[in-house]
Parts: sequence; structure tokens; C-alpha cells
Amino acid sequence: MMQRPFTLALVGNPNSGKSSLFNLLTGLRQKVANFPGVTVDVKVGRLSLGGRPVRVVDLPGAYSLYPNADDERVVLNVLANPHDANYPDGVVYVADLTNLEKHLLLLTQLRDLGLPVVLALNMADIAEREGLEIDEEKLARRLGVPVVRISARDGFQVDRLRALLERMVQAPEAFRADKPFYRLSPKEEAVVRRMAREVTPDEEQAPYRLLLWAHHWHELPFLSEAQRRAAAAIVEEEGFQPLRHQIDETMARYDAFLPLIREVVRRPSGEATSFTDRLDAVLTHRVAGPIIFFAIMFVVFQAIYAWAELPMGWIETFFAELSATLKQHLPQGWVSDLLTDGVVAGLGGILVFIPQIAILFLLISILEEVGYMARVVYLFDRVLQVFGLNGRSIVALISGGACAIPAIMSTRTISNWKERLITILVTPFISCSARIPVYAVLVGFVVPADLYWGPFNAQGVAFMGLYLLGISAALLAALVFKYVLKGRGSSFLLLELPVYRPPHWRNVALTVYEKVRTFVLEAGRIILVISIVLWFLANYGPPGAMAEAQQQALTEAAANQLSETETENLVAAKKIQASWAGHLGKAIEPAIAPLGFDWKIGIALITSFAAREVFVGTMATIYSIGSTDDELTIRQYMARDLRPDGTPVFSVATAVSLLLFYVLAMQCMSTMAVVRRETGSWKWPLIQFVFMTGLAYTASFIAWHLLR
Amino acid sequence: MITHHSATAPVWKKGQCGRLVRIRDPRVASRLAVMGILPGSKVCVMQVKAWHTGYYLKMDGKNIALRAREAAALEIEF
Repeated sequence: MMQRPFTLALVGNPNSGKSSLFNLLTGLRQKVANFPGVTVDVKVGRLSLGGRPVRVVDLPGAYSLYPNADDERVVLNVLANPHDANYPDGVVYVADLTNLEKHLLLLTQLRDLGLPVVLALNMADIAEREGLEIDEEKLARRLGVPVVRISARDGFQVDRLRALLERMVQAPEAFRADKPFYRLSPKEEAVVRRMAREVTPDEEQAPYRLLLWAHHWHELPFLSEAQRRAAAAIVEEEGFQPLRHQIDETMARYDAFLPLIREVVRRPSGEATSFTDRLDAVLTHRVAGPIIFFAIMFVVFQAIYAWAELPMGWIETFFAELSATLKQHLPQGWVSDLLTDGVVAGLGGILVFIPQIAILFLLISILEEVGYMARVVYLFDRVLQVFGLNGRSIVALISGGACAIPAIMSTRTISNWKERLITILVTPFISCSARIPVYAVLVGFVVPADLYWGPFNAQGVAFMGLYLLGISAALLAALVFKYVLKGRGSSFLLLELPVYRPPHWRNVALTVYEKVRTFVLEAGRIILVISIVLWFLANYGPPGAMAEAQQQALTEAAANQLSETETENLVAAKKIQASWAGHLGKAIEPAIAPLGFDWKIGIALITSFAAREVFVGTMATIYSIGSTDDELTIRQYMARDLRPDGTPVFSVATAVSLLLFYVLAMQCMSTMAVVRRETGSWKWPLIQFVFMTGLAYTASFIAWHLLR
Repeated sequence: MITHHSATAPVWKKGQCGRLVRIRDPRVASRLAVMGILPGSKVCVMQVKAWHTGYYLKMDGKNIALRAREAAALEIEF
């Protein structure tokens, strides 16, 4: 018979090295679980201890059961509710041995909830290097919980921890403290007695849990409406002042364990003025700090372009070869076409982003691991606050210059929901690498290549202008959202800057692996479906129309004695006109005519929704020059195209209008898929689509009418 | 917009050290208390942001970044 798995929670303060221990214990047998209603990720892994299956839950870092942020609220909600799906049967409390006096508060609270606990004193390697000594036995005796020194970095004594956990799984009772650490005050006792009688008469609860309910009844969704009303009444009638009691309790706990720590921990004499202080004197300096940050980001940006180029080339070549091989070996027909032009092209379109995503997250997780990201938050928090953003938003905004997808995924570190949402909503305004080919083609219609303003090439300046326009749009939109959206929780910055430490490479590797995997599986599915739909629309048309178009093209080609390639190109162009996509282009023409766009641009706008760079390929197909990527020839063909009245389609007005559209519009299904994933519903990607595209439409409309 | 907060914000200098006497805002007090920073802790000003809009403090050995609004709650005896 299958045994019910034992749920083991890892709990600890931020920066305790909890996640490293989690990675060490569970390896790749882990996945991210979302908690209902919040966007905080909780990782769940599997493990076997003494033959019994164990579910390991890595709860977010928290300082105490009095939450100040969403992630701490998750910890409270799990631990205050014995019926929660993740309520632990036992806990490993991870504390930083080198900073023990700051890490024990939450442990003493867990003990008082009656949870079986093992205390893992992490960073034993660093403690040893610093010459710090600890009397483990005495600490264990006085705290009433088993203690083991470990290092999640090099695996030191993790086997001993596992042995302890094996015993815990078999006999959790032995790991429960026999008496509470904190003695309730008379007022608290009175409240707890009434809570037991009036809120939960049918079920016995640990007194400290009832005290927590009295403190937090308004943020514990698992309590019923009646229970909340009862708790509110008790708090009111007893004159219970949550904030005051919270501070008294916290101080009482500190008063109890600080002397103990002084007794059991021996530090080498002499203050270790740390490496961190010397480094921070430069890295967080008000002038040098931002300069160094932009230099680092410049390197990251370069790396995304430079290092990703080669592997992206391999991926593209691989899929091109695969497609060619399939075409050769499969019988001709729609199956082969769907597989090669739809599925394989779609897959290639997803997988080609992997190098960029992997490199971005490799570098960002290294910066995070060493402790630098917290400094960035400090440096830019104030400026971004003006726009309703958060210090951490800057990472997303800058990465958005490569690709909005990894950028949006990186916003998870923003704990305030509103600030995170605004960051997600405005990041796609930042010009990503996919817009570059589009800009390259269109800028030529607006600014001549050989025009110079002093030493500056005018096209280069125009390019920069497009980027600046994107950045301004992002900041202005953020400002609007700041006033329109309602906040969840107040914005507060009181941030601990961790000591600089070398990265745990295992954590870095796991982060990269997990982000890439999520991208491929979650966003990939949607991208694949839409690619297939687009393939269908571009290859099929009303019955008979496609065959007719092909016949027409062949006749025309024969009459003009075109070469084989030219004939193929002409056939492709005629067919796309006759396809559903062509019909769609013509159908939306009335809507886009006020922007100066004709039906051909309409098709490109529709296909660009797959990815913006498809614009160039679509234009190439429509203007029957095959799928060449040489911009000059495409531009020449486009320049030749005339409107019925004899004026060129791609006038300065049209090109400016189209450029504005590509800067501002939401035209990337991958981004929308990721936004859906990150926000948990279609609501936000749809809102984003509507306001971005609406803004783009307005800007293009005005530009075309002014310049025409 | 920036001057709005700095009107009430403390004007500390980089390098100043002192002792935390009182925390006026209970929210800030609770946030600091859970990190083990209580009245009596030693405080040093490590960095000051332009226009005193934020501080990087070393409080009882911990590095803490906070906004001027939160810093305004701290009463420090230098």
C-alpha cells in the first residue's frame, strides 16, 4: 500500500541558505507550485527517508510569523492552518550560523506552534573560516530542539541531517518541544482562552496558533466568515492591541535567546571589518554605484547578444535542416507542410530564444547569488518609485532590451504585487531585439543612409530615438498605472543587504534550468499553437482560390519567361494574397487605412503577432522575393510599390507611422503567453494588448495625418 | 515630488555612528524587531542617497537599506 507522504517544510529567514539546502536534498526532483491568490512561488521536491516518501516544501524566507510582505504571508498561512495542503508534519529550520542572533526568532515561534523541528545551522564552512565556535549540545538542550551544523555549499554534515530527519519521519513526536518558549502575558492568555471557546470550539489548537489568529484574523483566508467575526469581536472586547503585543512578544523572545547565544557562540576577538563594507563603499556610492551598475548591465547586454549568437545560429540551422530533411522524406502534401512550415518552424521559433534566456538568467542569478541585486534595489528604488515602480524593476526594464520574455520572468523578485504588475505591463515597451530588423528596414524610408549631423549618422540617431521613445512610453505608462491600479499592500522599503558571498553554482545552474524549462513548456505550448494557426491562415484560402492563384502566377511567369526561383516567388506572393491571411489583411484594411497602411502591411501586422521580426519575412514573401533576409532588396521592392493614385506606399509618412506602431504595439504572442503565466489570468495580457495597441494606433494615426 | 518626503526626513551624514534610542513608527519597529534590531542597537550611516531620499545603515551588524520615510521613524543619538 502507498504510504501517505510525510510533508517536510524548510523554513528560515531570507539569506539563510535554505534554498541551497533544498536543492541539495531534492536535486532535480522539484517543481514550482503556485499558492492560490498570490504570485509567490513555493518549490516542492521529493525525497525518500528510511523508505518513506517525503514531500519537501521550500517555504519563502521569512523573519517571523508577523508578515510584512506577500511571501511572509504565505508562510503564516501555511503554518497557522493545520488543514493547509502544505502544513508540515515536520520542519527543518535553517539558520545562518555566522549570524545566529538574527535568525532564531522564527524558530522559537515554530516551536510554540508545537511543530516537530530540527535546527540546521548552515554556513558552517564560513563559520569555521572566521574562527567561530559553537557549543551545539548546549544550544540543543536549552532550545529543546535537535541541532546539527551543516554547510549547504559543500554538503558538510548533510548526511547527519538526513539521519536526523529519518528519525523524525518515524517518530515526529520526539521532535516537539515539551514546553513553550514564550510565556503568554495575562492579556494574551485571556484572548487565547476566548478564541479556543468561541472561534474553534470543536478542535483543539496550540495556544500560540490561536494568538496568531487573534493577531492576523483579517489576513487568514482559511478562517470562515463566522470565525473572523468572532475573532474580531474578541480582539475588540478584550482591548487587544496587536501591534503592541507583537513588539512585546518579539522583544521577550529576543531577551530569552540572546543571552543563550552569547553563552554558546564564541567569536574570535577583533571586529572583522568586512569585505562587504569595503565593497559597498564603492558599489552603493551615490555616484559610483549607478555608473558601475550600468557598466555591469552593458556587459550583460553584450553577452546576451554576443554569446547567444552562435548557439542561436546552431538552433536555426538545425531546424532548417530538419525541415529540409522532413520535406525530402515525407510524401508531399498538407501533412508534410504542416510539420515543416507549421510545427518545426514554430518549435524553432521557440527554441531559438533559449540561449538568450539562459545567458540572461545565468548572469542575473550570479548577481543575485553574490548579493548584488539587493544593492541595485537600494540604488534605483527612489527614482523608480516616482513612476510607481520598484528598485527591482530596473533589472526587467534593462533586460527588456534583449527580450521581454526573460525580462518579465525576472520580475518575480518584486514582492509588492502592484509594482510587479506595473513592471510586467510596461516592460514590452522597451525595444527588444526582435524590433531591430523592422527598424532597420523602415528607418531607411525616413532618413537617408548618408545623412550626417556633425559626427553622428542620422540613421543611428533615429534608431536611438526609437529606443528612447520606447523607454519614455514605458515610464509614462507606469505613471498612469500607478494612479489607476489599486495597490495590494503598501509599498515599503526596509531591505536587508546580505553579505557578499561567492555564488552557489548549483543554485545558479538550477535557476537557469528551471527558467528555460518553464519557458519552453509554458510559453512554448501557446507559441506552437499560434504558429500552426498562422501557418494555416497563410497557406489556405477559400476553396479554389489558392489553386486559381497558383495557376494565374504560373501563366504570368510563363508569359514573362521568369526563372525557376522567380516563378516560385511569384507563386508564393499570389498565394498569400489569395489565402485566409490575405483575406484578413484586406478585411482589416479599412481599420488600418487611417494609419496609412494597405492590405499587404495588414498581413505583415497579423503575422508579426507571432514575432515582430516576421515582418521582414512576410514583406519578402508578399513582394515575391522569397524569404531572403537582405534588407536592401526588400526595401527596394517596397519602395517600388505604388498606391492607386501613383504615390509610393512607403512614403515618409507611412514609414514613420509604421515605425511608431512597431515601437508601441503589443505584437508578440510569446510575451502575452508569459504575461498570462506570470499574472495567472488572461485579464492582464488582454489589458496590455489593448492599451499598447491603442496607444500605437493613436500615435500612428496622428503621425500619418501630420506628415501626409 | 522628492522634496515632499525629505521635509520630514532626517539629515544624517555618511560615517556618523550612534545608538538607536526609539522607533516612532510601529510598523518600522516591528519590521526591525524581527531582524533583531531593537532600541539600544548601534547604528552607523554607511551611505546617504542624493537629497537624503534613502539611507544604507549598519544596524547592530546588519546592513539595512531604507527609504527616507522609514528612516524618519528612527530616533538616533549620535
